[in-house]
Amino acid sequence: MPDSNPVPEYELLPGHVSEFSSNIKAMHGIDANMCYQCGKCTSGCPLNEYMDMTPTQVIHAVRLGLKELVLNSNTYWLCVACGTCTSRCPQDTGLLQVMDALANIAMKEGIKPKEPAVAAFYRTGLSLVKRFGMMYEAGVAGLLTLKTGTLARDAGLGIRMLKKGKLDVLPHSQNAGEMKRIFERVAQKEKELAGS
Amino acid sequence: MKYAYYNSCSLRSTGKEYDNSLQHVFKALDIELEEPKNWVCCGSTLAHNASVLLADTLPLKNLAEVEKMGLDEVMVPCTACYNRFKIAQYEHEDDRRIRHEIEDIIGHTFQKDISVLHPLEILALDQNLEKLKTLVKRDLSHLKVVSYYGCLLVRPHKETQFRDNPEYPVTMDRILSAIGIKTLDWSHKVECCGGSLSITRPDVVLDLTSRILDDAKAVGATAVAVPCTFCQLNLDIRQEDLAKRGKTYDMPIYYFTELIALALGIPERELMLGKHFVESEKVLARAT
Repeated sequence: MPDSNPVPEYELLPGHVSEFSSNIKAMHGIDANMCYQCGKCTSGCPLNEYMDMTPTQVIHAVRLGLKELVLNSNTYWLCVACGTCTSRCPQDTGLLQVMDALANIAMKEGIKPKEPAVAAFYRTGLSLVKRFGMMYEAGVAGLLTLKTGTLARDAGLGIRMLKKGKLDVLPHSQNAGEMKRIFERVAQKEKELAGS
Repeated sequence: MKYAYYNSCSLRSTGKEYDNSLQHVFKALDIELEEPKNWVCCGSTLAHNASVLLADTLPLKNLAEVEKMGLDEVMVPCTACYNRFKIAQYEHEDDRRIRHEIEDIIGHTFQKDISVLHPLEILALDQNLEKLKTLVKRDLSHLKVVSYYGCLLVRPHKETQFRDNPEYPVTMDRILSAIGIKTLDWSHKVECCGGSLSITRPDVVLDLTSRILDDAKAVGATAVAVPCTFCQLNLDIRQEDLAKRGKTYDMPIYYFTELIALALGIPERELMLGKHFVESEKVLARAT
């Protein structure tokens, strides 16, 4: 678990609903207070062993308002949205959406990501989707490799895919003008909703 | 019979052989497929991490294009797209405010519900299954296949509503059995292969894929059938890296549509089996 400032004791009272948790509920419709810590999410999570906080700990920390602790964990970056937690949750808590909410907040607030490559993948991938209207796999792989400095490791994979004709070297454009407008309108709408 | 066909990004690059074999199968069944003209990327794994509103908007933009075609059913073969379409529909239904905001962004008001279907759901319909049985031309009963469903199709089940049991689905097994391909019981049908971490955390992905392949091998499978471009690529391309770690599988990973096409007598040269990393043709020949 990452080091963080000690938590004032009054914030840990049972049943306390934090501002952080309330904001997530307002923005994403997820009530962290529904969780009764049974641990089914963690026991089913395929990435659990690589995470510094378990999914069960994350949702509890959200409830307690330990924003800094949660946003500095690698848990939500490693979440691949496989949905096991959410499907098995007896309380219908929606942990999948909690993970989305945390990633959304971290990206908007510019939190330094604990898994820089994953964050770079999302940013780079989306910028290409915005530009071309569709995915440009070779572009994502190439740009990511340059950004994260893993050229030697990834080049082999990319070359194997190119040889099999699984990657197109040049991007294709698909309804790109409209895509750009959609991205802009979504950003505009988010600003309005955040202000309301 | 005609479906809109969301022939998305991955089916045009990493999963060309999925698209190719799927088109063969649907042609044989005499089911027409039509692509929406103004489609865009559904946002896949990327959008929901950056903006949930964007992640809901992109699939609904595509469903609007389907409605404009005058169709009310769309076939979505990529499981990542399928998952995002279903989640967007679910949240859209649930929340009138979001619905209104998104309709405003995409400039379209929905008149009806569009049904989002995976090809597995369409092929498992009684009439299609019966027809497939009559079209079988090649005996592939010597294959021992495990059906791997992965995550995105079956989970979260409340949202995807995939027409099967989310913990132990049998749809693919039913289809393959109907055309004479033996499928085996195994425990890793819906385990995650780590798909979206493929280029960012390959160490994790190698662990996850090796567990899946270990179980396939343990039950005596000679091949794996998949319905997802990420699973196919991951389970296929990573075997070379796993071999370097001392784990040799030589396990061909087929799209389920490739196996169906083969059983219907479509020759290997018309499919794109050469795009697989693990050699996939030898196992098809019957030992004489």
